[in-house]
Amino acid sequence: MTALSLDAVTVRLGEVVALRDVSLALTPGSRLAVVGASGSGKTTLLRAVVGLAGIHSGTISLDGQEVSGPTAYVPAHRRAVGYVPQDGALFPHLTVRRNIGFGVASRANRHRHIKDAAGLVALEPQLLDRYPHELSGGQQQRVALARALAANPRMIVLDEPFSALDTALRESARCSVMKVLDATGMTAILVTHDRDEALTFGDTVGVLDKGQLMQAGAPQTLFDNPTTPEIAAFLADTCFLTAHIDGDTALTSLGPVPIRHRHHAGGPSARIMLRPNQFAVTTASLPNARVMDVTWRGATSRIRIRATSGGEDLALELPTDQIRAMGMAPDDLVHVRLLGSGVTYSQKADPNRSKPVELKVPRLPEPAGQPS
Amino acid sequence: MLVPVGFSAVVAVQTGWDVLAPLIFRPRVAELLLNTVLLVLLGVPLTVLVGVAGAWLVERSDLPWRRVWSVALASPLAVPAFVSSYAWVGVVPSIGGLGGGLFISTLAYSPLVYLPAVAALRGLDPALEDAARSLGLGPWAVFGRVVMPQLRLAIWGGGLVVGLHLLAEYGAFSLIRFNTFTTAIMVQFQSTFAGPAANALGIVLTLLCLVLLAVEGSTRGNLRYARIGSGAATIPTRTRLATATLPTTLVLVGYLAAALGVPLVVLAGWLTVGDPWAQRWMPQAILTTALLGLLGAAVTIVLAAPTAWLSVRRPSRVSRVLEGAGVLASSLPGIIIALALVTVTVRLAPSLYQTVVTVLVAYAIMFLPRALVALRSGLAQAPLVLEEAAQALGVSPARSRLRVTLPVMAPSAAAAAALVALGIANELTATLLLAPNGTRTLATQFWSASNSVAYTDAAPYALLLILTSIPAVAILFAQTRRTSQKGKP
Repeated sequence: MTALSLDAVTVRLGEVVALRDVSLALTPGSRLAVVGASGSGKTTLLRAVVGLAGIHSGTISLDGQEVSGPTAYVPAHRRAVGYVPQDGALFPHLTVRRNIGFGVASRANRHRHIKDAAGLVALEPQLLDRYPHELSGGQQQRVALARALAANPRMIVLDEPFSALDTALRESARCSVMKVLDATGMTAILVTHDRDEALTFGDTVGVLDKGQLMQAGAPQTLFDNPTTPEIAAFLADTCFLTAHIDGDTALTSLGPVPIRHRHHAGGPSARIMLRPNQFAVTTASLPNARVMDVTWRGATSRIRIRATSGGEDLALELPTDQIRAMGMAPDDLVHVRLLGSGVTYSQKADPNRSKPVELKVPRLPEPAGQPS
Repeated sequence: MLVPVGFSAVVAVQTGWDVLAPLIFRPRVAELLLNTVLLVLLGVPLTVLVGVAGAWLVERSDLPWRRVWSVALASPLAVPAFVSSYAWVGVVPSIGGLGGGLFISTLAYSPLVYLPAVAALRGLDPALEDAARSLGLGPWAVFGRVVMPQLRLAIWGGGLVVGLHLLAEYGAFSLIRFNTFTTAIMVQFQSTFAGPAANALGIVLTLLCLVLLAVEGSTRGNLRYARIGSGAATIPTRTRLATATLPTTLVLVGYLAAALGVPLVVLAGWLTVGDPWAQRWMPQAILTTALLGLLGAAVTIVLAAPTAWLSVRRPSRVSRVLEGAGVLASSLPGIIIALALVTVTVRLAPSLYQTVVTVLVAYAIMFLPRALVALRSGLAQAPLVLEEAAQALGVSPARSRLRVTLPVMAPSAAAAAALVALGIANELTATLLLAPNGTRTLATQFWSASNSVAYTDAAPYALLLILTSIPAVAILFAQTRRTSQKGKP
């Protein structure tokens, strides 16, 4: 049985189609991270699942029971889907204790539920009698999560819960949420515009664009094999080189590179996508590129190079120590060697590349070696 | 809500031009028109001058004791204009005419410009002024070319409110024998009830009011000034008053002495004569004022709540029309609202004439915007996402409103109720015209005593009116500070 399934769900907000034909299925205990730019429909997806937004067509089912669709609509307060909104939405007039206990139906066990939920999110007992405005941003997020968990939901959805936190706090808050979800085995959906957060959080990552689910899969798969250049660029920094295709090899101005996945329409020419860490820069003989400029960025520096045979500029990131050791400066000639393999795309926009996908998410084995 | 607005139009049509023309085009109306127009044309700039200067001194100069001055300059609002007149008549019995009217208006109504100007100045980005200074502009040029244009909305808004108050004021001008449309209508009403003469004057007053609203609306523009950028807001650079510090302080002391000191000293003097607190009707007046205030506040809040809800949660053309209708109706002088309700009740529902119901309807029309503003700000503090979070926790929509939205907005609702109730406590004209015979409130008892030159008898009522106004001024001042804090880090 699936914990959650969406079948061809379309949501309209007035004249705007906020979600278009989105299909997905989550098995119990799985974790889905949905990533997309602002306005891509992430929050609408969550609101439709929670029951706060009606759907125009399609169906949404929880544990096999239809909750939104042509024949049924179960309101939000009867769905038992825990919701952690952006910024937590803690009730300002209630203490932390009463916030956490807000959704606990049983009076008899309320105290225990509050204590358990606070313990799960490692909330110090002395914070329970404070008001939300007396907490830090990270503490507020943990209270919001505890409040959702204390109501004993069947699954939980998190709407950019870490976006208001600073970088260091965001990472620690994310880790503690993941620990809690692991401990409870709760099915979860997180939406975010932060690609690192999505790749770290989810067993499965879905990319939402203009209301359509464009690609979904295990984080490593998505990272290694993005089906469009836009998804590739959205998930991590990219370098695109014009290439001549020769069998399983792409011949570029900086040398040959094996093709890992093909998404070009065919023909002898294509663009190949590499990540910035796939370029080895040396000052050995036979230079094939010129340094255009060097920008110091602390521990690493960004260098812009151009192949001596011409073509587009590439922005690479190298350790600053290496650049200093090489004495690299603008106009220097360097030798660039391509490492690993790449993914090819058509030179022109491929009309098929915006075709949405249908996502089936099984409970994956413990993720290992995910990129961070 | 729009009964008072429609009233003038209907009366004009029913009475007919043949009857109205001789009543409008006569020397007496020309004199009233001249007085009233001059009062507005001179009174508004005077209050703007005093209000903006006070705000600038408090927010942008190095005036000593600025925190004290910031409260003190708002405090004359606690002295109703008619109490101010009463006090000044006691000190300078010859006070009167246009000069007297302008003097009393400036003392009583300058805080109506001062408060929005303070809020606007606090919300302005001081970096703009710093940038202008770095471009070589001196303090006066910075004020004239950078600050003033950004204060335009506050000045226009405050000026409009002052203008409407000047058109509506009855007690203050009547006590100093300065004739305006409102005082003349009241005299006509007392002698000929709601006859054609009173109604004709009412039509001209309504037109003046609508002209004022139209002028403000058409010149206000759509520009909104707000601090841009995500960096921390800077602290404003204060202009050094240097040798002007002492004269400036003396001018402010003089203003406060005239607006606050004279009424309080005069009151204290009258209160020591005889035993003014032992008046027969005082307990009844206090009780009636409290009851009318509470009932009026409850009715007004109940009427304002759906509009506030629509305007925050479901903003649409309908909500804007509803809000606009409320503001338009409440902009009309109390005398027009009262005349309209007298006419409507006498013609359509005689059983409601001179009943508490009609008085409460008048209060609701007059004070609805006060309740709307406070309720709207309360609702804005209870965003929909809180209710949604409650629903996701298994609480039904109705219960989530009760358990989340209502408690969060309760302080604002209480402030709304207090503002309305305290406004009602000071209301004079509509209460005089509409309340059942024998109704005694603090304002009517004060009026009755001071009109009979029984100044000692009026003193305790005046003091009670000032005391009841203090919480309203405190709430307004707090709202001003809160509004100006928004958008600051």
